[in-house]
Amino acid sequence: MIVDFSIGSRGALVTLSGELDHHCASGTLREIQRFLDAELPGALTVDMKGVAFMDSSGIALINTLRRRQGSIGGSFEITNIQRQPMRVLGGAGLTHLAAPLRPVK
Amino acid sequence: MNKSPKTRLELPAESRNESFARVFAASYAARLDPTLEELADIRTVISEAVTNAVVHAYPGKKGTVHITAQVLDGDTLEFTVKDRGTGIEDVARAMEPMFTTGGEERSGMGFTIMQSFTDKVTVTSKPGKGTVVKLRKRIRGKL
Repeated sequence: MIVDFSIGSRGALVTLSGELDHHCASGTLREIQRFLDAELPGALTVDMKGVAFMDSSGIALINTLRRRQGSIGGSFEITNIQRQPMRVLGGAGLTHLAAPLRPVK
Repeated sequence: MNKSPKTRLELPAESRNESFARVFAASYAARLDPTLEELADIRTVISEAVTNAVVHAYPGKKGTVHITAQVLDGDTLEFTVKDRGTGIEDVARAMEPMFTTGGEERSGMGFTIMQSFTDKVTVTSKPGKGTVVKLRKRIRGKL
């Protein structure tokens, strides 16, 4: 899994490329959390255009990041989610995790 | 029921072998000319079953994941993912959505996804002896 990070006027952007499975999910999550700990962004976007495959390990990663942002009143959004990862969310009954989480005002 | 000879794969129960298991399953499934979606579903459920074995079967020690593949009645794939590890005390509870003993890093949705993407999931397990997950999916193929 390749993870790219950037910070801009719209908050933090994390871009993922590769297959999001158990083998790489923990390491990927730790990398992202280190970045979030350092930058403390109120807004986090995860771009999944490079993730052609995801299993339930990816669900755990998405859920953890979403909960983290929610706990600080921040926003969370997934962009460019591909067909198979979206199908996995659907198969788990968790498509709402792909919906944007808006900041608490 | 007409059954093809079985094709077998043995892998060390290590996370780096999860992708190889997916490749094996997809390569095997290709003989039935599945759609891209059917192929993706096969890869996903194998990933879930193998990951369960990697995460739970052999805590603190090495072990092997045994995968067999077979075609039934010319159009149905059956994959069996077997380990000889710790086993599951309560299979019904283990299969409940969001139930996991794997901590925060696990979603507990593996069995739910297997059930969503296959026609039949059978789990048999004996504590101390291991677990067998059988996945069956009829391939309708390209229209």
